[in-house]
Amino acid sequence: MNAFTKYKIKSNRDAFYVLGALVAMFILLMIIHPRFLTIQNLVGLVQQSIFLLIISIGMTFVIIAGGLDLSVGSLMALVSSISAMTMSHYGFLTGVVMGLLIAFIIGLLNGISIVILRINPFIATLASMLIARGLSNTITNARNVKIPTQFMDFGQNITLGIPNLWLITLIICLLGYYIIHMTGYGIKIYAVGSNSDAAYVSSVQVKLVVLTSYIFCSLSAGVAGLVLTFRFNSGLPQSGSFLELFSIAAVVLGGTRIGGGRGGILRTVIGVFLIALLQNGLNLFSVNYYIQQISIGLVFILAAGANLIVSKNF
Amino acid sequence: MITIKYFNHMMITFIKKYVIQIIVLSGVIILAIHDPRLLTINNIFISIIQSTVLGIASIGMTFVVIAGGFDLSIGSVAALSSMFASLIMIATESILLGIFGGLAVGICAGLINGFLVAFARMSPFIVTLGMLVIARATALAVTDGRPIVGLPILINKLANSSYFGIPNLVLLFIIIFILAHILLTYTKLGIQIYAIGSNKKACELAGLNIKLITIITFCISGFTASVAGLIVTARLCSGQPTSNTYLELYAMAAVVLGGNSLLGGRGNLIITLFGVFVIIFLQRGMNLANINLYFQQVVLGLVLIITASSELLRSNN
Amino acid sequence: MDFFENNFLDIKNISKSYVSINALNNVSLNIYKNEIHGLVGENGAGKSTLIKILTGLEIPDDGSIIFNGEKYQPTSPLDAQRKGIAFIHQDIHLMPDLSVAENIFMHDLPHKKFIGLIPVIDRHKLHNNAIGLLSALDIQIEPHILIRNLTAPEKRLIEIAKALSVNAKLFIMDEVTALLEHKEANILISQLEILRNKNVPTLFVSHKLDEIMKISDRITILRDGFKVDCVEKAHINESHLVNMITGKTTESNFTQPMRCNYNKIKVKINNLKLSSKSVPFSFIVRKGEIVSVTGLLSSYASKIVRALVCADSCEIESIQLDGKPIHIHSPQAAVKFGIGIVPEDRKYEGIIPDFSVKWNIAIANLDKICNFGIINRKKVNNLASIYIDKFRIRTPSVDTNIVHLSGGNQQKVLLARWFAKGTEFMLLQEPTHGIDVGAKIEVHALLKKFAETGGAILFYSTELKELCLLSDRVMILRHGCLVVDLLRSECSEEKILSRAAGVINK
Repeated sequence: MNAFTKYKIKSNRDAFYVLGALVAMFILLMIIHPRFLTIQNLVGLVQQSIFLLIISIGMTFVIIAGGLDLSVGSLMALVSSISAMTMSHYGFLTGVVMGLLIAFIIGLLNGISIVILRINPFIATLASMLIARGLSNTITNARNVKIPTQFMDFGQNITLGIPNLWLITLIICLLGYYIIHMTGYGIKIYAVGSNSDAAYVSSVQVKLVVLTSYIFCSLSAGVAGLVLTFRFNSGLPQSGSFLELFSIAAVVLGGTRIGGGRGGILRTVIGVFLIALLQNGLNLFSVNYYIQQISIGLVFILAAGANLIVSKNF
Repeated sequence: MITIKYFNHMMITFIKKYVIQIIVLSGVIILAIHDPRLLTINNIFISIIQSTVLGIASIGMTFVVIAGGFDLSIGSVAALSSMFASLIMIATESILLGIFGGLAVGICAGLINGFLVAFARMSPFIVTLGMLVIARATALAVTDGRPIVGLPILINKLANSSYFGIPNLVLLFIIIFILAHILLTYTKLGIQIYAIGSNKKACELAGLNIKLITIITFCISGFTASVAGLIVTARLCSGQPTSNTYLELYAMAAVVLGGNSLLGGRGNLIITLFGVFVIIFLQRGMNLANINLYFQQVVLGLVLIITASSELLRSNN
Repeated sequence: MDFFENNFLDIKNISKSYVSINALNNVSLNIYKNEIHGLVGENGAGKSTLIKILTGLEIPDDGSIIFNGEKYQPTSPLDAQRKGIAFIHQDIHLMPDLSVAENIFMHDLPHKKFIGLIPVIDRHKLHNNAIGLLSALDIQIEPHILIRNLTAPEKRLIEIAKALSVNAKLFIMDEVTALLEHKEANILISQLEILRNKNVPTLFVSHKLDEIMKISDRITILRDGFKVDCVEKAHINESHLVNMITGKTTESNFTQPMRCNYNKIKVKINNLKLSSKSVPFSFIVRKGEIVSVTGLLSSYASKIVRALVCADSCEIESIQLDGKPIHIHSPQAAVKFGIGIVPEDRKYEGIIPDFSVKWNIAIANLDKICNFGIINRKKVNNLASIYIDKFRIRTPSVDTNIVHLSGGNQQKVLLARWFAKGTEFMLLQEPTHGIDVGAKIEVHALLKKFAETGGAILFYSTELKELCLLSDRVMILRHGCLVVDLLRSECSEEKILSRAAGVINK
């Protein structure tokens, strides 16, 4: 299948450009900042980016299908808070299950609002962002919730030579890759994003596909929330602001288009590390935290202007 | 016989069209019954004063929505205007210059938003979302998140005093409302805004200058956002970079709750006013019932979903 | 083809009407299991309505359909597909970002088990299945290529392959070959013949009369919502077909007198190139002249009108208005030059649906009805009343919302816009599309009046009668090139149809 591989490479040219940009940025940082290439910095880089990575995997589902989810950051905070609080009274497993359950419910809420109530995805997910943020602050009174001491090891433990939390991130990435690139459902997500009318006529259940894409997105935000809890050994109700924007930027920079029926998990991973490197660079140079946020806003607008964020739906 | 059937039909159509408003009004009535303090003159008085910020911001949002667009940056632009005006007031000790500075920020933000939407043809959601982040981050960056205190006391006095027994802020609200209403309902610009929201392509073919009108609506929205920010600055006598968070969501809820369509082309400012009062009333009710401030956000989110879903009911008519 | 099979698809006495138009009147049609059945007729004859009913997009007012012995009442296109009727229409219904193989087999993706446990898409099998299908159809397109990267004819071929893979019992093809070259069209035709021999019939709708003659076993002709006849191919030739479609038995000369003399040129378009493969041509429209442009779907004729107001793209070397060269860079600029367009799609590009009748007229005349930017309501009402009177627009009041008006009256409102503005050059697309007969006559009268007062008109239409009644000149295009520029005295419905379809006359 030589022609096949050649064609695949040619039509995914832009992924290679982004990969090139990633490598270039890595090399650049290596050259201009002495502390970049240290184990400490690189490990810290990965530690910081696992949340963005997990969330972006889920965001990829929604974006390929043509939608958008602005609630993931707040949802992560909500799951983090709820799981921490539940764990304190009902044990490890119950805490985890509660967290994932709440993520599922919010994802269902998003899906129903968008698919059945036909609300614009921006508005629907902004509303659930408000609800999630409001709930997490209400139940915790805007204070971090420590988890019981007996569970505090989980986040720092190492299994098979890799920290637990990195392992979880890896599993999520592999799971995401499997679902999107190796199942029939994955192909259908692309179909719906590419041309939902044609997909409908091809016997694809468009509404169900879109609904489940939002559920996958929320579930991954839920996992991110659990990972957050174990990383800091507390539920953090105020975490994750603007994380959704970082996530969208990462997915889009990686080459996935909103409803373009293009892109995928590998691209998202590249995009996430690109953003992580960018952030790391800014941190190393002690750039003001707010300037970092301004730059992500600019990246967002530039990406939109460069037609990377174009959707038929809004 | 015929008239009864016709009457029934009319009733059903009416209910279908206003089901959201009916539900919310019922909620309001329940709140009022539960806590009669809500119906006191005093409470209504306070509510009206509190509604000036949301009211003015919603006026701007109404313009953008009727033209078929959207503005998510209102709250952040308000905060940025607040900071900018405060800086100028401290530096020059002139309230007037500060006010001009703040308004200029709002208009500039509107120009940028409008330009990107009209000429670069970007989605208003994306553009104003980006502006939301940039404006808020800029407002925070100016003083590293700290408020600017020590503004001339005069501005606080101005905000809190009354003229002929009516609070200044309410007067400001009334004036802006009347001017906006005249602009929207009686002028050439107003009718064009409605037209573009209704059918952009047809307007283009009919010879209207879509790009200019779009930019103007965003400028109006930015202007009202900065007025809202200045009001908060005056009331608190300080520049607050974290102020007016979620203002755009409250404004959107007010606009849609009143009965404007998010698709554009119809609606008006008077029904927006209705939406504003209901939201303020709800907020007052929740405050008086000591409902957690954070939970009020949850309620806002639910209200948003309920009002946004009314589009579906309307389109089935 | 000599023996009778049971009627596989039996359409009995179908009628359908919209508001004031009778789209179908008591039409009956039957299709045998082993035939390719051609369906012809002018635009507006009822073909698309019949197709919509067969594919579940519309419900007939009267009549019934029996398919394969059972009552047939599809509720949606997907439902029709499940019942065994596959349908390919003019628009491409493919997913552009997916590959050929994925598009074709979306409804039935092959799976396998990874390590015997995990269900995974069998891409190898998908690829091979696609290769099998495409080579059986002699289509030289690789299955891994993305639809986005195919040309329009290639996309059409893939759609055909897709429909053929669904194992339908009956195919309906609506103008499928419009944009196909001969070679590609022949691929399709041979496939349909193979299917026919396997007792899978096709209902084939086309304007290309040579093709219809070649491929069909029997042909049904519709005209004005009625069925004219159903004939066997062997019994007629192309000229007969043309006669039956247009309803004229002899070539008639229109003896309507030419309008008063006009020789001032209003607009001259130099070297208009409609597509990359077409030959550029130039034309003029004079003051007081009504010029029309027409052609089949593949002629790109409909683009001309839109391109002149910059609503569509094609290369124009230069435009001269009243002798002076002008540059139109946007629809707004066109309006400033005194050019007005009445687009084909009233609903999405013409009327402003939230506005009343009076405001739909006034929106293009804002300077007239405003004093220093303030609206003068009296002027708006007056303006509307004048035109409601003059044009006999039937509406309860000036304030009635325009969506409540019939198509014909909506069209009159759109015309009133430009009349009120003092437009001198009017462009129209299908000016009486979807309008009842009475309103048609009124709209034509208005257009004639416009020309009589010195205005110039260029319109695109595919209604032969309209072209003959209204035009001073008819420009006929084929494949984007100007074939002939007929004068009024040379016009007849059959002549226009023949020239547009490329039929060589005896």
